[in-house]
Amino acid sequence: MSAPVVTGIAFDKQAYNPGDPITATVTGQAGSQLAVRNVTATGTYTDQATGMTGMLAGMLSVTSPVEDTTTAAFSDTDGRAYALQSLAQTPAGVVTAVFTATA
Amino acid sequence: MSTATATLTDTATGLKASRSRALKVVPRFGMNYDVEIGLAGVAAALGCKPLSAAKVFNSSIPVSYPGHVIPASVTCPLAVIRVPLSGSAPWLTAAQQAALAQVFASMPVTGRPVVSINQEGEENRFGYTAAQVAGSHGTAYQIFKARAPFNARYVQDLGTYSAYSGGRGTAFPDFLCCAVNGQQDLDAYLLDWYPNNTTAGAAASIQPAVDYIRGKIPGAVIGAAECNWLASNGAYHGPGTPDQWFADCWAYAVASKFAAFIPYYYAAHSTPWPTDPAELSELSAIAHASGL
Repeated sequence: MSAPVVTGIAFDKQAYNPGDPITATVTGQAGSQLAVRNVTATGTYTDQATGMTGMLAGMLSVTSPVEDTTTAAFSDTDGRAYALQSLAQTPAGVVTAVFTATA
Repeated sequence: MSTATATLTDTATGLKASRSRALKVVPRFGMNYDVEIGLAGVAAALGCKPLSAAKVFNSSIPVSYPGHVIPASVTCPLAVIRVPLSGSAPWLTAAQQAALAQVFASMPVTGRPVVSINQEGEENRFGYTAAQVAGSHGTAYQIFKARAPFNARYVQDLGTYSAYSGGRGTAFPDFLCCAVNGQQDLDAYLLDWYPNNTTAGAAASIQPAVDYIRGKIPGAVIGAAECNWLASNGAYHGPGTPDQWFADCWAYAVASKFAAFIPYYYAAHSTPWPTDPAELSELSAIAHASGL
């Protein structure tokens, strides 16, 4: 199990004047969990002289990472209200969230 | 400087991650529209983008906002309109109210148009009472709210000198149009910022006015609608050098989260466009720092 990670915050301008629209893009990596799947593994032995075969089956547990879904939030120390415009997550867990506010 | 924080939350586990970075919101830089080299000339002289803010003075009520031709780049004009006040409430005649209603209704629905009546109306030279000044703004604000587009703002524009002991001094707060004084708090309070005397620096000159405003309206939006090291009557200048004055003013304005920073240069008022390279360099630095 891993926590999400915020990898970057980007603003559409270097500096804003009061009243300007602000667009902030947040990038990150979704958290993940290890999903357990039970699978049946079958081994087959073949006698080359007689052609007779023997089989043995057994249960295996296979774990693989599964990306969790993520929510995003944005705030600043001046108390501006940020509106979430979009939130996208790729199958690989890359998260992109876009927020807007007024400077 | 503000700090912005992004937080991602895993919906399945509740695990969170946050990251912060600085968010730079700085005062909007502008100039009086009638500066002798023109607003385009200011941008050229300072090597910056076209200005988006300008103060536009009207000696009487114009037919429409802002009352003078300004460049298209100026999306945040501040139009101030001189209106002689009546001696009794509501302090504006019916004809003046109708004319102001027409101006307010003509404000553009884009950008951030700003308007006010009687800049520095609290100054002794006009001879108005506190009731006249605060009450007339209250009357104008009611008309503004009924007629102006949603993106427009109404402000009161006062002189920093008025808050100084040589001006109105401790009576200054009574001239503010605000709820505590029986009116309504306005969208912003702008200050015409000049040295109070030959020894008062940038902060010392504006602090009394800011303190009085914050005392009446704790969350007030404040800005500088004029600013110069030279007193606007040319009688004296502040301490030090003009470039240091402007550097100090800008630092104060940023630290105080001012909405606007509008220097004032007008030869007819003894504040001609500067020729001092250090002063021009500082103004250029401020313009760039503001995002221009």
